[in-house]
Amino acid sequence: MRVEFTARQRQRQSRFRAFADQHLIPKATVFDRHEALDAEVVERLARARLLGSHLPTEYGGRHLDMISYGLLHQELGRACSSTRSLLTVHDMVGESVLRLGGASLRQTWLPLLASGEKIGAFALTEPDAGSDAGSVQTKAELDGDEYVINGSKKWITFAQIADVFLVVARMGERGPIGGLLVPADTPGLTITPITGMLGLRASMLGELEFRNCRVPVSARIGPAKMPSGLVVATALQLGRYSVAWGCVGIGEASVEASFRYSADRRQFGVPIEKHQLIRRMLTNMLSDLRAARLLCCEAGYLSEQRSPGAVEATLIAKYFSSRMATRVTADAVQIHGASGGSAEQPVERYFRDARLMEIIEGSTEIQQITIPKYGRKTYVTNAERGS
Amino acid sequence: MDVGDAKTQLREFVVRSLGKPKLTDRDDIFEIGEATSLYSMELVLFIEEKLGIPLDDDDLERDNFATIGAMAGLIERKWDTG
Repeated sequence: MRVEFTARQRQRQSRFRAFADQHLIPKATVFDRHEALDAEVVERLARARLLGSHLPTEYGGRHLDMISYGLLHQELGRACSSTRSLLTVHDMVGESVLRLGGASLRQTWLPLLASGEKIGAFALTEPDAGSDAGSVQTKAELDGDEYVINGSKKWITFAQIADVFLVVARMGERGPIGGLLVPADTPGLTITPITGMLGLRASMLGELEFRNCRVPVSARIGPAKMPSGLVVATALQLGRYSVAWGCVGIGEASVEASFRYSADRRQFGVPIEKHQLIRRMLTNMLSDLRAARLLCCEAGYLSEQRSPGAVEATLIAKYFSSRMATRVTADAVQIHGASGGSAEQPVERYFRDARLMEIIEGSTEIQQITIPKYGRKTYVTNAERGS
Repeated sequence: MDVGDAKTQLREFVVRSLGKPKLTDRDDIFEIGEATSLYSMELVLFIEEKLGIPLDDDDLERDNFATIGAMAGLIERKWDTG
């Protein structure tokens, strides 16, 4: 695994950072306050070809390598986590169509998603089904050559502006969990905005209600006869990867703000960076951030190779990075004192956003259930076999 | 790598991934409750990327992945037609 980025990756990172500095940082606080992105930013993301950027060029994507893709999510996450969230959910839809959609779905939807002409959102969570994805109640019943969808979804990121949803549903009464592409204007689908979130406030969440919503059989994504939620895993794999890098972005912004503030702010006659307790915090923040970035790189290199090991590496990267973001942003608020607790400083927003990062795309607790299973296989079961 | 190597590697991968050293070629992986969505994703990646066998939507059926024996059969068929 390379520890240094290539010249091309560094060049791309500079461009992503310049985009974020110019178009996101000046507006991020306003987005947060208004609980919405503005249409101009979404248009700019599309024009810069930052939506669906991992998709192959034949569909209009940039086919970014996974490290460059991670750096994009880091840089956008550094500026505005809500904007980074748009890329996350939009790309989860594109990824699922690319990997598991049929040729017709790929030809129809991928160019629209890659150009940003259509915005995608991922609809998994329900009022009574979150971490336990297998318990989704939304049903898609086959009726001739159509699926009829009934049920509801909650906390759906960018539901308010999405043109198409990847809806996770039980296919038939006792069928497997599958995915369906459902345009937002499908009759029988009602979208209700959700406001008042703690963090990621401009992610324009919504609740979806499906009442006898009909889509053609061709809207199905993923295998009809595999009982294992492959479509959910495929979408969440990319989602976790994006969130992990987004957390590194939050960490980077918090560390940068904290070093600058502690160099300027004077107490007891010296900049507060001279005080040992502040230096300890800064040391922990910086080390934590570097460790998270390395885990993201590991996940990125394995993802680029499409190695099965990318799944475990991404789980660990997301787990560590989101907890890192919580710790680092808490320290950043502490270093900033009273101003850190006010909207005067962006660290207050970073802190609120970071809390949500431990919940989305697999909560910390779900990772704590899953990751030890990999550890047990490595250190106990397979070690006993001597392999 | 020939088809025999591919089947051996597949068997090793499944046993390691599931952490079930005593898994036989006829045990139903879905029935013993070990086939999580993450395992399915790793398995597809392994077959496509490590063994170099592209899978079609039609291949992704329960019957093709329920046992190691069934997966070996799928690989053999794909190998012959590929």
